[in-house]
Amino acid sequence: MEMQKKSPKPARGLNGKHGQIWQAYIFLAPAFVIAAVFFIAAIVFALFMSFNHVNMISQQFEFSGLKNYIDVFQDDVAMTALKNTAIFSAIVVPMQTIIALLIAYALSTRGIKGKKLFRLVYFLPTLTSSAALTLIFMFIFNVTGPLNNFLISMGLYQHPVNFLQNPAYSLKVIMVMNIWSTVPNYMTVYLASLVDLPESFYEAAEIDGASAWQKLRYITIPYLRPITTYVLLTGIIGTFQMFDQAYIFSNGSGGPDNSTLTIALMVYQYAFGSMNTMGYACALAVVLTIIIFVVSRLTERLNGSEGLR
Amino acid sequence: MVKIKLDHIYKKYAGNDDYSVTDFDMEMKDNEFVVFVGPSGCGKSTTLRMVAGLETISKGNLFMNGQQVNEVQPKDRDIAMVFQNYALYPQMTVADNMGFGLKIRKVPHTEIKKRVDDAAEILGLSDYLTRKPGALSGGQRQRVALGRAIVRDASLFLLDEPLSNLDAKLRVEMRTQIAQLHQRLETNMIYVTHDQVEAMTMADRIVIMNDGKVQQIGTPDELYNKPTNKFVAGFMGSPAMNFFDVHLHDNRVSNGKGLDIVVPEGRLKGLRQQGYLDKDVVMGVRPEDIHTEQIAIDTFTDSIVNSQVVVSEFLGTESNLYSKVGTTEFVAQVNARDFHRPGENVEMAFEMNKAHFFDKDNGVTIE
Repeated sequence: MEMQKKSPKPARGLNGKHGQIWQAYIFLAPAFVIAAVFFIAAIVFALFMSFNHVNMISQQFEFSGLKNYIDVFQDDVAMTALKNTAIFSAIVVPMQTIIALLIAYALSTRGIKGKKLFRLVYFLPTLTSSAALTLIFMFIFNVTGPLNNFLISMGLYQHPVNFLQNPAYSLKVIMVMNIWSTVPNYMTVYLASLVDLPESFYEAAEIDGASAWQKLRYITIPYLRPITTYVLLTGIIGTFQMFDQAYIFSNGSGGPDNSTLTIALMVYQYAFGSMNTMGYACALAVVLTIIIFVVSRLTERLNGSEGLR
Repeated sequence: MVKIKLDHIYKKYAGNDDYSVTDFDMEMKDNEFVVFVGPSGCGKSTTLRMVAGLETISKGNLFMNGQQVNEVQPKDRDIAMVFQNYALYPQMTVADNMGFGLKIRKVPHTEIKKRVDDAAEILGLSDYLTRKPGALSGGQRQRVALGRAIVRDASLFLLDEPLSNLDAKLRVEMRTQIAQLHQRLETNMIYVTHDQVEAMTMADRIVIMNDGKVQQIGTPDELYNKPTNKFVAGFMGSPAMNFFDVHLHDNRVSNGKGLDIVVPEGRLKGLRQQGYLDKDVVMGVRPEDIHTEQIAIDTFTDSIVNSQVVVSEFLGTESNLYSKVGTTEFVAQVNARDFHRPGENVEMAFEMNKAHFFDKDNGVTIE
C-alpha cells in the first residue's frame, strides 16, 4: 500500500502564510503611524478647528458652527485670493503642460543632435531651489534689472516698467517663474514616456503623409494622455497650493495691493500671523481642499483615459 | 502598377565604417511579389526602408516608373507599408486605424468608409471595426495592419517581417492570405522576412542577402536547386544542407573521418575541368538526397555509407535522422516509414547526382 504523504505542518510565526502577512504589516506600520499622526490626525484636527473660534495664545476653542465658512465667502480678501489662485492655475497649468509636451516632442524627434545636452540644460531649473529661483526672477524683473534694460534698449519702452510693484504685472511675473520652474520636471515625465512610443507609429504616419503637427495631434498627444492626466492633476494641485514663490516675492504680504495673494499664502497669514485666527485659516484650507478636489476630478473627467476624437 | 529599379544602391550609417547594404541592384517586374530574405542584420529591412523613403540612400539610385525618387518624401512615393509591430494606434478603433491614411490625405468621409468597409470585408474584419487594437488577437491586428495598407490603394506594398510576431499556425494561415491578397490586388509587393519557408512559399522571386550583400536573386526553384554559393545553399531548406569538407581524389571524395564515396562521372567532369582534382572542396548534400529505402541502396551502390542514427525526429510524413559515419555528422530526411531509433546502424545512400560542390576558399558553387 502506498504510504499516504503526510502534509507538511503549517509553519507558524514569521515563516508561514500568516507570518508573511504579519511581516507586511510590520513593514507598513512606520509609514502608517507617520501618516496617521501627521496627516490624518492633522486633517481631523483642522476640520475640528474650522468649526471653532480658536485662540492659539490661550489655547481656547469656542464652537462657532459654520461661521468661519460663511466668513470665507463674505470676505473680499478671501475672494481676491481665490480669484488670484484660480487665474494663476488657469493660466499656469495649461501653459506648463503644453510647453512641456512640445519640448518633449521636439527632443524626442529622430535625428536631433545633442539631445542629452538639451535635456540637461532644460532640467537645470528643477534642481534650483524655489527661493533662489524667485530671487533670480526678482532680479531679472527689477526696475533696474536686465529685462527692463533690454526692453528700453530695444526702444519698446521709454521708462522702465515696475513689474514687481505694479499689481497689473506682479502675479504674471510669478506665473512666468512658476511655468519656467515646473516645465522641466513635466518635460522629463513626458520624455520618459515618449521613449516607449514605437518609432514605427511615426513612420507609418509619415508614409500616410502626416505632417509634424498631425503626428503630434493624432499620435503623440493621444499616446501621452495618461501622462497628461498626471501632469494636469499635479499641476492643479501645485498651483492651487502655490505659496513659496508668492511669499518670497511679496515678503509674505501678498502685495502689491493683494495682487499676489494666494489662498495658501492667506491661510498662512491668518493661521500664524498676528491676527490669531486659526479657525478661520482652517476653514479656508478646507475650502481650498474641496476646490482642488472638484477641479481635479473635473479635469480628469475632461481629459479622460480614452483618445480625443 | 509601378516599375521599380534599385540601381546599385548602397547604405552606410553615420559613424559606421562599413556599408550596411552594398551594391543592391535589381529590377522589379509588374505585379511581382519579391521577398528579401536573410539572417538578421543582413540589410534586408534597411533596403526596404530605403525603398520606403524612411532611410536615405547613401549611393546609387532608386527609380519608380523611370523617375529617380531618392529625395522624394515617403508620402509621395505611392507606397503602403506594413510594419513588424503593426504600428496600430492604440487609441483609435480598427476603422479609424484603417482610414487614418485617407483621412490625412483629405479623402471624403463617405469614400473612406466605403474603402474601409471593402478592405474589412476582404480581411474578415467587418465585425471588429469599432474595436480598439488592444481588444484584438495577434492575427486580427496583423489583418488590420494589412487593411490599412489595402485601403490606400498604393501601387507598391512593403511588408517588413509582418508575420514574425504570430504563432506558427497563424503564420501559415496568414501566409496564404497574403499570397491571395497579392493575386487579388495585382500590385507589386516587397516582403522582408528571415524565414526561408515564407520566402519559398510566397515569392515570385527571392533576393537572398547576407552581410549587406545580395547573394542571389532568383525564383524559389533556382535558389533551392541552383544556389550560387554555399551561403544560399545552406540558408534555403530545412533541415539545412549538409556540408562536408572533403578531398577529391580520382573519382572519390573522402574526409578522412569516415566519409568516402564515389562521385558519378557527370559531376566529376566539371570538377575535373575546373582543376579541383586532388584538391579540397566543400560538398553539400541536402537531407532529402540521403536515402535509406532499399531501392535507393540498390541503385546508388557506389555511395553507400554505414551510419549510426544519433537522434531521430518523427514528423508524420517524414523523419529526420541525425546520424554519423565515423565522426562525420549529417542529417537525412527520409520517409516516415523508414523511421530508425537512435543507436541503430543504418545503410544510407547519398544521391551524388544531386550533390553540390563549393570552392573551399570563397564558397562559390562549382558548376
